[in-house]
Amino acid sequence: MIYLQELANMLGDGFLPVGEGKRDQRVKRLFLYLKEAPAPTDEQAATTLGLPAGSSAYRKVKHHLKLALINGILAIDITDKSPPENRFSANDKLWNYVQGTQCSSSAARAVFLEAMREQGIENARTFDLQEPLLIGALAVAKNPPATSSRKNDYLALLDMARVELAYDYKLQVSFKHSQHLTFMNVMRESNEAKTIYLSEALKEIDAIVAVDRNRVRLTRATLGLKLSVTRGEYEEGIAISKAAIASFNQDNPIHAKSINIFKNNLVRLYLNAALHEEGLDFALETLSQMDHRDPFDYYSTKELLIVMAMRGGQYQLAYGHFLDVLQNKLGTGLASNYQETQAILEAYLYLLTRIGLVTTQAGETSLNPLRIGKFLNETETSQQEKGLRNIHVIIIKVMEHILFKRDKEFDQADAIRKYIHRHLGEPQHLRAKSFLLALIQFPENGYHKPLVMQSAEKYLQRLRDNPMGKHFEHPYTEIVGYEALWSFLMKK
Amino acid sequence: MDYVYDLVGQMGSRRLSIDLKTPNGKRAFRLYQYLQQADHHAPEAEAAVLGCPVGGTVHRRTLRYLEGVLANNLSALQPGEMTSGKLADVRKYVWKLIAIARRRVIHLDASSSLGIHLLKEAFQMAEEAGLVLAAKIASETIAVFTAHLNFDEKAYLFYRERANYYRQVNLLLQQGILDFQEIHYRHTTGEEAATLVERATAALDRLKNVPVAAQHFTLDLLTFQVKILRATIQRKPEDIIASANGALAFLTEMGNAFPERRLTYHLYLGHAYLLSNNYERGIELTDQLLEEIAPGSHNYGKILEIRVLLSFRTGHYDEATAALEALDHWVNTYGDAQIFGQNLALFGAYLHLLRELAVVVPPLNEEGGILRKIKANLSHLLLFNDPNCVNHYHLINLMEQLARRRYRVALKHWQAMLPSNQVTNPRYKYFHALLSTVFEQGFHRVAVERHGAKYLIKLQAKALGEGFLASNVEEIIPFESLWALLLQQLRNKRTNLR
Repeated sequence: MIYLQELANMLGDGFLPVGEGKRDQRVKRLFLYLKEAPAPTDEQAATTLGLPAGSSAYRKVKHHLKLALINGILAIDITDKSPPENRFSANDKLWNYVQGTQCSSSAARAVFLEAMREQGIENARTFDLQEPLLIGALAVAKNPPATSSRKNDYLALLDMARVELAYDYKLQVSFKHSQHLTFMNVMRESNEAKTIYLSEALKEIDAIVAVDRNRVRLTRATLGLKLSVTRGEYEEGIAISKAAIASFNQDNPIHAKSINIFKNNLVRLYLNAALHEEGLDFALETLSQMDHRDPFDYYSTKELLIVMAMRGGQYQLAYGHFLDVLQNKLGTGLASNYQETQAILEAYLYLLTRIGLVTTQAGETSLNPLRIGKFLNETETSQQEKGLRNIHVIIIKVMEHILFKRDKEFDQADAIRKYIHRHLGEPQHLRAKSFLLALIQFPENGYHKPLVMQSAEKYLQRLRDNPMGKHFEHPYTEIVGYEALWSFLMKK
Repeated sequence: MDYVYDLVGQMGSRRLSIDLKTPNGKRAFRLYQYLQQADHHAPEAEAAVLGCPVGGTVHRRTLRYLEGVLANNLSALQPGEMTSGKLADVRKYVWKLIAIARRRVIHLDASSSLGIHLLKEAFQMAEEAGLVLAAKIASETIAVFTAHLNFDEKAYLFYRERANYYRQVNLLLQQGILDFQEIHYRHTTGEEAATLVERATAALDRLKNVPVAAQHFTLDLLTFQVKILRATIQRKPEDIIASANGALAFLTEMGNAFPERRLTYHLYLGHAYLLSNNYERGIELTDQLLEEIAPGSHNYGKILEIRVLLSFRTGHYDEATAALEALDHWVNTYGDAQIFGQNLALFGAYLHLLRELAVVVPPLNEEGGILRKIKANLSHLLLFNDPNCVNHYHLINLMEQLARRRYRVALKHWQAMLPSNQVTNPRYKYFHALLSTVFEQGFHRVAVERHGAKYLIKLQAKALGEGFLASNVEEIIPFESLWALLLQQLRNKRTNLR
């Protein structure tokens, strides 16, 4: 029923191709019911139609509606020669042509093939829609002209289809590896496994001979970049990103997206490589060239800039940019993990303002005061993560207690120790583990600084022995440097 | 726009689904009703129905709109097609599912699983039917989405493996098909055989070297098709027969559920028997096929066509009448006149000629039969927008007028025939030269025979069975046979037309 409703929504106000018979009337009634019902059920739908739910007659009506909806959604209007407004409408139109080129009626197929020849192939190229382009070209190639008057055009089309076929193969192989890397990340596979996989993937991509185009270049460079990051070779990653940015055409709007992706990656690499000064300059320059209305690229670069400024100790700069995020509601509409990272950054900045490291001016938009209950509600997904943002949630929770709730009992120490034991055993979490263990010495030693210092010393020594970057830590595991945080707390 | 008339014909008695709430829809429906009833389309009458100037914007736009509506109707899913067991229906359904799904998944909406649901259904059907490109697209898309957005580890790993396989098979298959298309097209446009044979051999070598991990039965079938194409170029009907039989044996062995796949090779066999002028084997094969195929299918008509052609080519003219009757009856019953109409008219025209030349004597009870119908429609050959068809019209008229001793009219028809450099069939060049001797030698039989002898030798050297024809209907009755019939119409008397 859900699928049928989704199909009905896809057709929207379009024409539902059904006749005038008794069953057709029922099909129309079911269509209207699906369009109006917020949560349709078979029982209600059957009642609307006056049929027993689960009866053969009801199932037939559903089946006929499915067919009518598919036919309606995929119908074409060949008198509409207006160019597609965007990639989505171009995609819709092209797939409607593509399915028609595969039908058995030769005369009907000829109409779809002509539409593909006249508009489809060009639109697919304009909007970089590779699959419809390939299928369309192959379908047209299977229908040669009846006379030899268009021989050269047809032979050129065959060559074009060959080029697209080879390119599509390389593109899909590149995508395959890119998506598998995402899968490996989801499955939390080791860096070693990812390094081996990426090395083989790049060899396979490079061995395929095809035309050099934006999407393969982008995916291939991204995989190369990820290999560098996985190996901890950030300088190499920076070189790859710079080379990739230089290889794209700045004036081409399709390339502009790829350029932004690599600029964003470059900022991230500066962060990874702890080249904060260079990174901040580049991030500021990049932001000045980007459209702030771009919900992803602009916000993502801004977020990296804030993290880098905080890591580099430029808290006032980070604060200024964070206020910009709040004032312009940047990042609105992005996935929830961006919102959660934003909540973590805001909490850190709030703590920094309370410590006095960030000064605020009267009249400016202020940060929301940190309410730990609200903060925990806003970071539900982060708390389910084994490492990464959950570490920040714990740090903020403990720091909030140290700074504002010394009079209250701290009962989280055992839970934190258990968490550390279970999830922070790997070398890349050594710094986070040491800092958290040092942090809980505050409540455990009654906030008596000499005692805290004495009992935390072994953990602090570990921090000193293992500077950031030694174990290829994820840059987001440390937003404000742990040493800096410790020194603020000791001064407070 | 020319497609619209074919499309109206193909609709037959099907109900038209059209949105009558829009002005375009209302006009298109009026036009459709008119075109369904009209025998022949007349722009003036169409404009009158629409109440607009002939060839004006409204007229053209309505024709174009109707064309789209008819294409939508003819390509629409019909109840029962999903279980019809026909490959064409499965293909249509699978591609519609893929199209809907690909329109849906581009929005990257993790809350919707419609796209994945449809793609899984499409993949299963495509894999069972051996639709490689569809299986590739479906499995690749499912793998992309189950890797993260609609995360499903088990599904991801399964479809990833299938996508890897179909990606590789598809690359090899489509490369092979493009090679086949190119060689076939170059052959039909009269390119040199030796180069094309080399190309076909290279394509076969590539197909032979398919890695074990990318084996698929469609690649084996394509290999048979390329072999048949090479044999056609080499003019070796016996090799065509061997490869077609090999493909049929292969299909039997693998137990493929779709009879349409067998039909392709049966048609190749029919074509080979046609090339080798083997009437007995051809009739035996077509009899067998007509038993196996559903009478409503397109290929049933193609086989009936082969029977008519085979009768003409082998001089079984009396049998041609019965074969043509059967084809005419089939076309009338199954409504594919737009596809078969032209060939039907051509065959009829030649049968009419044979009757005029007294080669065929219809039975007494044939008064209302096909010959009478054909005679009335002979000039319809001119209505088909095809130079080959018009050329046949002039040739038939030329011979008919010679038989009636109306030499001036015959001359006009000869002059209207296509010059030999505009026809790809190399045999036509010599036949055209033969016809010229008729007029040069003042219709004197002995003189014509003597002066035409050298061209006749050259014509015979390029035997019809050697596969020179781009289309089977380029030459319906062999030119040698027509020449013999033509000579019979001449007298030993010189006639000066001045």
